[in-house]
Amino acid sequence: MATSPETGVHFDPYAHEVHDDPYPYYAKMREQAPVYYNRKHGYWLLTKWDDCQAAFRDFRTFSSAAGPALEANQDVNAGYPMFINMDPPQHTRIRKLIQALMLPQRIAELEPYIREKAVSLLTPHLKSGRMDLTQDFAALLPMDVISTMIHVPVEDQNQVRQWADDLIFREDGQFGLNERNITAYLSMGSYFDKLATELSGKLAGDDDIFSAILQAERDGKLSHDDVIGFGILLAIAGNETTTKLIGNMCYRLWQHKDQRQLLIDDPQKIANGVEETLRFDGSTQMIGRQVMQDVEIRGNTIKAGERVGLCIISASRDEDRYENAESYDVTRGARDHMAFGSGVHSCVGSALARLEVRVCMEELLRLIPDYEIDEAGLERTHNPNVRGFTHVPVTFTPHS
Amino acid sequence: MTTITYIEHDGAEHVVDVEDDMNLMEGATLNLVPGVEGMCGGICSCATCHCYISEEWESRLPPISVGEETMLRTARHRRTASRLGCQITVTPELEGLRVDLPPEQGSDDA
Repeated sequence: MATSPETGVHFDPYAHEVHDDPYPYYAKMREQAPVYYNRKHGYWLLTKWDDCQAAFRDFRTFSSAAGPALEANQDVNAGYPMFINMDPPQHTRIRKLIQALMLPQRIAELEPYIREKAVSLLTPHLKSGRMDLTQDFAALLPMDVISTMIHVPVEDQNQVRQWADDLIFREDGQFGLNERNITAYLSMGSYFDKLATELSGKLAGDDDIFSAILQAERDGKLSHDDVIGFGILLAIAGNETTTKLIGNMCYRLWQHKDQRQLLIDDPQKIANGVEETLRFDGSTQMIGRQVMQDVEIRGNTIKAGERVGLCIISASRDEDRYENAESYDVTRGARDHMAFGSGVHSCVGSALARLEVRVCMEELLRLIPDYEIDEAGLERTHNPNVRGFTHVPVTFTPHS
Repeated sequence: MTTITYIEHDGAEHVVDVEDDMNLMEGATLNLVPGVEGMCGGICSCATCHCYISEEWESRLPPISVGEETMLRTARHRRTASRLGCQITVTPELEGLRVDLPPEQGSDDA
């Protein structure tokens, strides 16, 4: 682990040992080294709400052009173009192609479908009284829903999910990409190349994401590689973080049974419970930026060319922003957390994620309100950016 | 490009050229105009691009949708002239538009 000798604070988000509970590290950084420098790998971390918000806002100084990962040497431009790796105004023009499809009032049309899907995934397990909330439920629903928008057929969904999982997984201490990550990326590239070519003659109009993107290709606004990049990005973004957020919420509600009871007694509060889970234990830990000009924050000079991680999950626990920041309170409902980022790059799928997690939790708490987690069976993914479980085994009172 | 003037609550004016098809939130945030946050990135989910547009421009603006109204209900300092900048696309018809900004951005229920 890298150490800041001046403060004694050390934090390595690539070390698996910190992933079970990174929050004490964040608390220590906020207190002793709010602008933290990791000497081993040479990156900065911003841990205070105000600093993260200011950095998100100043996209000229804190550029996305080298991607949102923390690794300094990742050449994102060697792969397929993705708007997550661009700055305005180019980024804004591309984002705009799908933004109207992602407004809450538009996304709301999906609610009956999502509810039906959630019930259909839970129902087969009710008689046995046991299931894995990630593998049997939380991992399946977001892939199914995003597939309705990017046209991945049912028979391919498990494969695409596996690639997404392989793409993000980091071995203990792994800084940068390994063969497993790269193979998954290239496989997804070939897959969406083929899918886009197959669909380009069939899809028309702009009623869903892939149709809108293929239309933009026909209109000369996007290249074929742009379309492939969109497919990969949406398959990952529409999958990983929503799955992990459902798991994190199941875990926190089990850990705080009084809070779970509040939501069982009054399901109207579940939307606020989702917001509180985003704040308290969101599935995105940090978002990387590249500093384009020297900038001073709290007496530290970050030089042009250096990498900075905006620790949104630490910002969400910032005592200067939230009263009782370390307490999980499902009635809080604060929406000023930056779990989806903030500003020009804020998650374009946030309304979909909020809807999916709310509906999943409504059905889960209705059908298996008394679930007990087998803590010994919990397993999590390992990635400095994505936080959440791959296995959440539970038991509950069987019924039909 | 269309010229838009954003006026902070203290009277400070920011005159910027906004690319057509961008919206008023993007016109402000891409030019780092203080007083507009646009936290949700323009999907009508946060009400931090709250602004006031005088009645004389109303016929040139899109009507307030259900989604915009839902978010405006939570906005602090709401007035009859309130709009969300992210829901107003900039077109040459809006040349010279003056956009007043509230004392602060944010929701009362947050």
